[in-house]
Amino acid sequence: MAITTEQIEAVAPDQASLNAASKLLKRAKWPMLEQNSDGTVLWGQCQGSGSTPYTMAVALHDLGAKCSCPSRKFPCKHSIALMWWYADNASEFSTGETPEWVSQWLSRRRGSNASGASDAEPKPKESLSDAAADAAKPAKKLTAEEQKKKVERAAKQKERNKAKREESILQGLDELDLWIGDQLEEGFAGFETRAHEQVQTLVKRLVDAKAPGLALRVESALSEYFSAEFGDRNAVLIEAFGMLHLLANAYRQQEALPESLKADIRQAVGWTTERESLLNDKSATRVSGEWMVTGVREETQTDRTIRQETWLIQLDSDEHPVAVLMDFVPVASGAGRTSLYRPGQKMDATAVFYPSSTPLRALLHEPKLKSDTTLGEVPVCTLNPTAALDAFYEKRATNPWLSSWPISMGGAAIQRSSDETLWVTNKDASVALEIKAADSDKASVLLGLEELTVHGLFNGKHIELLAATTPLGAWWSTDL
Amino acid sequence: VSDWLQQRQEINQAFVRGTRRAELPIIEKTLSGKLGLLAAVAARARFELPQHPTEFEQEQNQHNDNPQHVASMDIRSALCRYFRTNRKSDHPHSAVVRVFKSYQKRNLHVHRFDYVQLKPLLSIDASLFDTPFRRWASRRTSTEGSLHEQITPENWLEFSNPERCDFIRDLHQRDATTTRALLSECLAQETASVRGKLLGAIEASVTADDREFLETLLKDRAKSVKDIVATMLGGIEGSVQYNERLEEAVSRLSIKVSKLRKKKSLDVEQPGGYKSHRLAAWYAQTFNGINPESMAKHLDVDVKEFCDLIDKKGLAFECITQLARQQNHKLMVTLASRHTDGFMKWMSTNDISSLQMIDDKTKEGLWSALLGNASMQKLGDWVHAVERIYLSLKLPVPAQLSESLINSKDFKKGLDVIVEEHAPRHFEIVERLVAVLQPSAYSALMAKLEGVPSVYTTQANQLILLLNLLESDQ
Repeated sequence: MAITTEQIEAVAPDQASLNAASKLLKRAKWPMLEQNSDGTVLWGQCQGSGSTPYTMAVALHDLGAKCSCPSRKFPCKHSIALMWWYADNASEFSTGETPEWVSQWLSRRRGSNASGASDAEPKPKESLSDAAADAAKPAKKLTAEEQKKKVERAAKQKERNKAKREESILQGLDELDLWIGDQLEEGFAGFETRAHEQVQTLVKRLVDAKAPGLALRVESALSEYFSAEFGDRNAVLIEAFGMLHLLANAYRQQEALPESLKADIRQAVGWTTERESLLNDKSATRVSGEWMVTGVREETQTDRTIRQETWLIQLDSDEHPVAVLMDFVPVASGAGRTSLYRPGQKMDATAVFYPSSTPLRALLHEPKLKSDTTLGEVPVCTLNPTAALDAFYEKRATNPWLSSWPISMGGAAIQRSSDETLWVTNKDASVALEIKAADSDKASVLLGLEELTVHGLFNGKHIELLAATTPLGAWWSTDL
Repeated sequence: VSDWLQQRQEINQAFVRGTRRAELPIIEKTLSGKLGLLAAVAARARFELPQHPTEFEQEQNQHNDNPQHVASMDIRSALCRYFRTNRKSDHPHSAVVRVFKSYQKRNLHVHRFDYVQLKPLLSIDASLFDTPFRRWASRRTSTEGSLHEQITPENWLEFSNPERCDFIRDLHQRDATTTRALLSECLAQETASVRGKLLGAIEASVTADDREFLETLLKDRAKSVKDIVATMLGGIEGSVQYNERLEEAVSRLSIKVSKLRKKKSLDVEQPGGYKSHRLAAWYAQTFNGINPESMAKHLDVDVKEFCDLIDKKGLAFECITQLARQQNHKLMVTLASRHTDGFMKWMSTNDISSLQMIDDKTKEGLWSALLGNASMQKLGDWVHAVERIYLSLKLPVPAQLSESLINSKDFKKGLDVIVEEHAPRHFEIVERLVAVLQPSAYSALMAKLEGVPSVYTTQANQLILLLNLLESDQ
């Protein structure tokens, strides 16, 4: 599988990493450069300043990487250098049998080799150097009895941890309710003077209560409050705090709710589904077909991570299901745009959806990119504006905490109101959706064009345009 | 609905004032009752579409959407790939000029969908782009400005000051008479700052024909404007200001003849106590723009002999702009070919914008004169100087010369040194080189780059792809 330097540049966190990687492109620094027989995985060793070389592996299909170095950047310079070697001099890589530590890492990523794995199997090591070291040691064989006990112990411990966390979260929810109650008592009029201090206290408590999802929602509410127009701030608080209380209540009564909605609630509070367990979950919703990237967007979250979203739409289906891939990168890593995807790109893939009453977030299983179709048409399903809004509200009625959902509107136009705000309107302007102020620069190039089919993320108040079909061709919000 | 709206208003007011002070319209006034009401109001709000205006502005199409003037999808795709906004450093100025000069040559306009991505390039050189694009970019800060698609002598007053300056700069190179007429009409109504900027726009292309017009402006009421005009007149042969400068320049020069061999040499009386950088500025101020023929006449030597003498003193370069202004191309090319390395070094630090005025044939001659002899051993410095010349001439290195340069041993040696050094400041060197060469040299260039790490070639390859598309089938 060939990779290009452009792809490497796209995954590199910053220029400094590329510069550092370029200095490693000396053959003498690489005691080992190998690939598996079908050329989908690379691994190697790079001599650093210490006596033991760093060990790294790269999966070529998505340029995922793992390295034993302590760098906080991802991918690190060693992994980038390994990719780079391969892009420039693939012939330097000898074909070898995939080492155990690489197989373990791959199975952890894709779950493809772990389908038959039981809980009794040892968990893959976090550190490649540890894994490599362990692989070198003769494995200590356990008797069947010992093995069974070990599994039971691990399962019991897991249950105990889970129960402890549940208890802790419930306490956190009570604290949240009390806190909101205090705010109601005090009134929202003076909130801005006490906001930072009180919100930070609550956030710390929610994090301690192992409800990081709730903590993030509270912090996001604060930042939304301060970024809103002065006259809209109280409405922001009412909606944010009201929905937080609703979430807390729903969590307490989750057993009475449908499984899919329960999954939404638990996810919102902070429970996560691991990648490999989702891929191995036979009951997970899977949609196979031809998918197209409609946009890539990044948002810096209040927990100092960058959430990168890649929005997809299925082409070979009348319903045109949508999906979003999410990646999280620490701000401290200095990573820029790391997506391998560009708007308009098409691929054959199976989207495996995270459990939800409104499935949207997904993982792509073994995507096969097609030839680049950038600047083609945007084949979104054309809906009249009222139907598009109805579809959105239907989703929100199913999942009240749904923040935004992709909608498509046909026969639309972009119009400017007297206060310079841009709107997506239908022909007679009976429906008008406000375009987010941050996007008005991008959307302003669509002013004056008629008969647009627009595709964007609607959150009930604003629309964030992703793509549009126009008389001048396709328009994409994401840089090509 | 109206009941609900009224009720909601009461509830919201209570939330704002605080439930300690304001009553909520609920029976159960416990914490859970209040929170339940808050959640109900919140949930309801999430199903209400905000109010929207019923009337919108009438948009006039200010864009050039004519398919004949819009680049093909292939070109746009290559353009957007190359001018990505997430690039870690700025795009080389030479590449921006080269690409959009090609756009201009093919009468292409930037597609309006590419405005956002290409907007940062406006800060590099706005004059390369058409009015609709520039107007779109400035609209965010100002809604003022003309709605005309093209700026013309009839409507130019309706445009913004930077647009008017660019227009005057461009027009003066093509039609100085009309430019003078337009300036004469408008200057009286402008502020001193705008007058200065408009006059400064013609500085690079000022000729003897502008003398009379400029002399009338010496009576301007602002000192800043008078200074600008006097500087410009100082570059026009025959003017009082030029003669003063000539006198000063000649007073600093003297010819000495050695007694035994009767060999002539030039002595320059330099101001005392000046360090090298200040001295360089003094040289430029004193000699730049003075015609070598006038100086030769004053010193009573033949012009060819004088050129030899000033060449040895490193003064030859200072005369170049005047020679360009006078269209004395032959002498200019001769001087350039005599002292190439020094000339290129001089060009990289001085304003040589007046070279734009010379004809293409002379530009080609200048390229040959400069590049035929210049050493490429220090490839980084060489490319920097060549880029500067390109930015002045706005003409790529001629095809034949491009190929012979790439195939020279010097180039290969210079490249090897750079790759060995592997310093990030050189990563763009190939890309910068591509921007100044003709497409016919690209295959030879890429052949020389075999085995060179891709950090040097990735951007260059994208630029080659784009320029091949833009310049191959004109």
